[in-house]
Amino acid sequence: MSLQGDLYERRLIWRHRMGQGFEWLCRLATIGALAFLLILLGSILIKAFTPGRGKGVAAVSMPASGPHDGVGDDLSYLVSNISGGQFEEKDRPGIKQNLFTRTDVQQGKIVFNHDGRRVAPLFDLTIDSKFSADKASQSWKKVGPGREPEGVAIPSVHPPKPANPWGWLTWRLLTHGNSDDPIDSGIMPGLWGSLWLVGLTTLMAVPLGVGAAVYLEEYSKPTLMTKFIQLNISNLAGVPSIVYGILGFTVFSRMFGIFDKEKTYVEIGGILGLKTIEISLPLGPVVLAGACTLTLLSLPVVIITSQEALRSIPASLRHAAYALGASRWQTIWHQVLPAALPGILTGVILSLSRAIGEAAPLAVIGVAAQISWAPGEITGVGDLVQHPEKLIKAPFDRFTALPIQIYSWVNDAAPNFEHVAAAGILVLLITLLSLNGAAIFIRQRFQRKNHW
Amino acid sequence: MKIQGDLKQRKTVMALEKRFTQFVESPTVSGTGEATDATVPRGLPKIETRTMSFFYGTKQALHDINLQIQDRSVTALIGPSGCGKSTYLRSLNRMNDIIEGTRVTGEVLLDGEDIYASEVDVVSLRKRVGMVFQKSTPFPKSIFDNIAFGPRIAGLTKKTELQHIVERCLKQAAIWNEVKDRLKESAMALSGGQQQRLCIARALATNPEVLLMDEPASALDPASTARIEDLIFELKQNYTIVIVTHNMQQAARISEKTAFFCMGRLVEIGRTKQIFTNPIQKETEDYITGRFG
Amino acid sequence: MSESQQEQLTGNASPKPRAQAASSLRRRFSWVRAREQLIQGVLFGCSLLSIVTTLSIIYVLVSESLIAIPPHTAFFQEISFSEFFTSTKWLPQHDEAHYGILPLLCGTLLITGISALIGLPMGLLIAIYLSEYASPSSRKWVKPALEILAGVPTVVYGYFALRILSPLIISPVFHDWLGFSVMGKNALAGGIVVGLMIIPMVASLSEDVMRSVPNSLRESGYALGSTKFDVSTKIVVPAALSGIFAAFLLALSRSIGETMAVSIASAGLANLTLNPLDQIQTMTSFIVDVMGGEVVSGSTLEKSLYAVALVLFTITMGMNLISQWVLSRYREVYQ
Ligand SMILES: Nc1ncnc2c1ncn2[C@@H]1O[C@H](COP(=O)(O)OP(=O)(O)OP(=O)(O)O)[C@@H](O)[C@H]1O
Ligand SMILES: [Mg+2]
Repeated sequence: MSLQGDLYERRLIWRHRMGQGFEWLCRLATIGALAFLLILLGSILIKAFTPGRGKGVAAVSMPASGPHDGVGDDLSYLVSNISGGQFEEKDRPGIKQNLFTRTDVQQGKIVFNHDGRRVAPLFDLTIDSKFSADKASQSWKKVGPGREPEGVAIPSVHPPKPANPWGWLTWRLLTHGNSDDPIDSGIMPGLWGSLWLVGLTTLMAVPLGVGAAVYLEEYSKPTLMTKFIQLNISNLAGVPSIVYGILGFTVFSRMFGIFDKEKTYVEIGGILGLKTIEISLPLGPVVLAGACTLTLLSLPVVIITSQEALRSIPASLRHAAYALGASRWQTIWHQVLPAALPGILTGVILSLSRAIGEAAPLAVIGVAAQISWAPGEITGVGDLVQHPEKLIKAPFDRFTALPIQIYSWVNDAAPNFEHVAAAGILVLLITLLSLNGAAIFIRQRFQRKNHW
Repeated sequence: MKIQGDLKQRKTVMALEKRFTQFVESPTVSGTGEATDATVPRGLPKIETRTMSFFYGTKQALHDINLQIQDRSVTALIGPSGCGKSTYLRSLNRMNDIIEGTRVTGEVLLDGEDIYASEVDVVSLRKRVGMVFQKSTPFPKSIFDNIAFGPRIAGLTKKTELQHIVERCLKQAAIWNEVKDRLKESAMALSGGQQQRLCIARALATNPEVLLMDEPASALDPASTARIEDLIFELKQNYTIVIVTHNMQQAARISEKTAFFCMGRLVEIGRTKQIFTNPIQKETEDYITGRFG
Repeated sequence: MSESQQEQLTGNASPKPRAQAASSLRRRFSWVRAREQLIQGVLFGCSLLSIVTTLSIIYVLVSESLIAIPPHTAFFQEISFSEFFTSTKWLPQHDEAHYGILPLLCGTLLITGISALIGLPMGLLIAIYLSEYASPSSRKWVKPALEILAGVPTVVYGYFALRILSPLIISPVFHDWLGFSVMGKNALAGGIVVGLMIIPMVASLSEDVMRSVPNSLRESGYALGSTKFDVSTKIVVPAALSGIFAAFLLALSRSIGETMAVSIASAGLANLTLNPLDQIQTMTSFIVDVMGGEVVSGSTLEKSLYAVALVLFTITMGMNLISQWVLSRYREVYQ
């Protein structure tokens, strides 16, 4: 019987060791996940604040002494197949200069114009025949600073000044649209596009979602129908976002292809005393189509979290209101909803901030990164005062969004775009954070009013 | 945490404990602890608490409890609700360690050894001092796995040995005949009374010396209660039993000694007969005659 | 019902004879009741929207891929089922187009497999830590951090995989050190970040089910001489097993449906390969890649998107349904 005695005690020591090992394993997994979060955010910060590879004119110089020093005739260089820019004469900028002498370089007449693709250029080099022992021209393939051939001094090209030495999260980034040049690229259209999306999505998702939650929690009886609706909602919460994208593309953007034959226009706005605006059908990838898609996407989570918030309200509150003669809706509107508001808000913010970060459904409905204006071409407050109709035009305007612009930059292999993408990600994260912060603030304001 | 802190000390303690268990166990142990008779002098209490106080955070739940519990006897703890019976019982196998912020002062001795000493291993302590709870708590596993749980975690893996233990414990707990054909079925499918006896059998499977029972029959019908009482009567041949009960008749029927607790204090302890017929303290009398509060 | 309740309440409150009071009240309250009815109808409409959404997803996917309204043809009327499910080539944009979904399924499987290897064990360990070991104060830190991790947009994960993980870790280890050939976009990078992405989900869902295991079970375990390790792994985890299984299924369904991170980190050619260092194409990344460009409306290519989406929807919906079912069974046991 090994339940007692020596064997048991020895096993016990081992069991404690194993238990401690396991606890450490669990702890390690947790620390690992948190460390990953830090690494993720840290690497993005680093990328966003790393100076980029610069371009433009940089000086060229000769080493102070080299193998051909003291030779009477001047050494001349013929370069070809340059990658990373071109040699130019200082006085004639923009014109390629492939043949020059050592004296030219020493006198500072030759400069190098970096194109931003490489820190140090690479080129094929040929040197005049009279400088080699056997009087044959010598040439080398793919030489350059750091890859000098033996026995010959080559002109050394200075690296360009780094681009954006203070990082890429600049005012320029926030005020410019997309561009081929990373240094000129900006996220303004995406930022405004995303803000419009959040606004419209909130306007649609909150009433619909809270309404559905109120129905399911306060009105419905546990019939087969309600059970089915409930099951359906939890399943919708797990449908991949890209499927919502396909739905949005077909229903809101392409509109089942009904209007494909000839463009249809609808005029609105005249009644409000504003300039009439024309809206073409099908809508295409406009703000409203995006917002409708994101609404459908975020509704299940909004409903589920609102239901949880409503469920946590004590029944006594409802009974007290009924006892005062309030109708069911009055009870809900004046008592239950205000009490549940903090919880509902949390859920709404949670699902909306997930929706803003979603690129897949927007990409599928056809939102492109190249749009360089804010929705409705609104340029500022003054512009809005002069042209208030732009506010109505904006939801029907084509647009781009933060994650879409980031997606296109991430995929752009040209140098420096990785830094722009990192800076764009920072803008996205800051937007998410400030929305969450606002939500927490509002929640606490409301929470202070309820005491029980 | 205690379990963590004392790994270093454990080796030395292991040696000590080993000596102790060898001392306690005869080579022919059948697991029922008969050997203790020979080695532990008669009259030495199995469990003794000396000026023990217990705190939940800052709230003191027990005040200076001095109590001796004899080997192979049934001791009943009675008292009004909230007086600290469960707390006392749970501190006898350091079950309260699980609750954050609890604290014990004074001494709790098991066979003369302080169980709250820093070098004591709670796991082996709890194996020696088993516990049965008020609510039956079968694990959501088969009946067999429920009983075999304790031996298995202690390191027993041999199928035949496990079968042997399961059969012995189920027989001891007087439930063998009811479940012998469905050992592989889920324990959750048993009736409440059966589940409680299963839990007793499960507690017996680790071969404890002491069995703590916290109102084991309070949720059961009279028939099941009677069976459990019979069972306790059987078990006291081999185990030291401490039982909390609200049922005076039950205490009177099964226990040799009864301790009356009130407001976290031990008011009176004595032979059950004496406590129920001729209590010394006024409070005890009031409680027993139902004039309490 | 509210009406009867109301009548009772108002009736009781009224000192007048009951019938008279009720009738006068009824007349005065009639428009209120109409409003109540209207509101209830509107709210019911809101909750019906979820059903409408599901139905329209199914309609849109089915009408483009399975059965179309006559002048149009659906995808499977142009491409046979047998080609779709057995051909090993997925070359929809090729002159000689092939529509065999196996490479896409294979890519999805690869990503899901890698992510499962990372996300499920880590998530489960974190859940065990949070529910069994963590002190309240450390839980207070860990849970919000996990929520932040869950809230990071997926393009960010993709960026990390493409710009940090692949060039700085995977390539040095597998290419420079072990000598394999590694693609710039590879399934491993995508799988790893998707695995990290599902950790918060696995952890929080599993923690929920583990915390709902009653404490009395833990106490009984301790009373039998268990260490904390025994209680965690031999009582709590087995008792919560079906709930954990449901959490795993939901997480896997999430990694099957994950789009952006995979599209950025791993997606390229639709290779039929199980080599994690190769580039792959998943169902989701195929859809965004094609939609990112111009698609001719009504072309087979466009319809193939719907067919792929239908397969994706069916798989994830099936997994979700199973896990919902398991979870509801689990709740019945413990609540
Ligand atoms: N976990 C806890 N934290 C704080 N206080 C506790 C805790 N458990 C019990 N107490 C308090 O300790 C005192 C004794 O409780 P205990 O459970 O021991 O009473 P009891 O005698 O078993 O009562 P009952 O007969 O109702 O089971 C009570 O006042 C109770 O409120
Ligand atoms: Mg008690």
